[in-house]
Amino acid sequence: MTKRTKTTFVISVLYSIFFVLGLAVMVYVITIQGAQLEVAKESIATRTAKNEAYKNIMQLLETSAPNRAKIDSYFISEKDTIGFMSELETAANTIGVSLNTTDLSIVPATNKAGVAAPAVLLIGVHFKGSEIAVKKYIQLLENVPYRKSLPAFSVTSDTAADVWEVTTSLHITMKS
Amino acid sequence: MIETKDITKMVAHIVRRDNGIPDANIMHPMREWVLGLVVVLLLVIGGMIFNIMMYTSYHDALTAPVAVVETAVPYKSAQVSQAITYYEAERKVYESISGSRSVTGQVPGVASTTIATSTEAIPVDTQVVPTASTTPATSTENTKPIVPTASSTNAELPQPAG
Repeated sequence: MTKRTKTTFVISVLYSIFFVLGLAVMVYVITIQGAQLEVAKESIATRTAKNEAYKNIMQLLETSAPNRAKIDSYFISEKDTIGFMSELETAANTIGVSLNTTDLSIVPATNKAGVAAPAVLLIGVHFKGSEIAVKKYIQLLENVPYRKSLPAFSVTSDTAADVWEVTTSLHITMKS
Repeated sequence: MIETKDITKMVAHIVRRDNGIPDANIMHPMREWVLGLVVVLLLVIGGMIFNIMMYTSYHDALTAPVAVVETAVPYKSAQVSQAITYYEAERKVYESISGSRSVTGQVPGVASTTIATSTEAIPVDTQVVPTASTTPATSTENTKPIVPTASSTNAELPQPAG
């Protein structure tokens, strides 16, 4: 083997090594970029999902606003308390019963799980009048357009004099 | 009949060694050149196949649509509609009894829209905690339920609406 042959052989071997190394580096870079592509795609998917969820929520907020406003109106606020009491008194006069408010307080409430729930406006009333008027006023209390309950009431009547007396309390859920 | 020595002879004939003069040349330029060409050709073809596969893979990954997992927004439209219907009916009864248009439970009239439904349960029942009161409290001592008395004889109460 001549010296020239040896030199040519060494050069070819070195060239082959550099060529293969170059290819390996390129493949490595492509693989790394492929992994980055996968991560980017996942990130895009997550972001797109969040955008879609945001759009859905915004659309839902917009389209459900009237219903939410209506639902919201079925809960009494503290500032509406006096107005509501006046309304009850006016209605009592209209119907023909004499109304006395025995209690007016805001009471904390919890749900069945013991978690704090929106407070309850407790209105204790005592009213009396004729049978028809009292029944009508009870019906009025039962149909107060708020989320409420009438946990108990007592009725006494003097049928001879047609005087009925009712003591009850109204629990109205307040806006949280 | 074929005997063992005949078989041995045939095998020896097949695998016989060349007893001629051994080749003195270490290198055979044409053979090495062809060998090199073949090896390089195989490498190139393998690289092409690998590159095509990789290109196809990433091209598909790029052009494929991004899979978006959408989560449904829980909105209980059925319950909302039911509640609105219920309270609207109550309000009408309330207004008809009181003889005036109530300021309670009213909002500007806007057409309702049904969006989506969900079966997620929500707690609705609450119980009053008979402790501590805030404004405009007059007393919290009367927070106990009032028990119907025995004197409520002949009490024929009106049927609750709804």
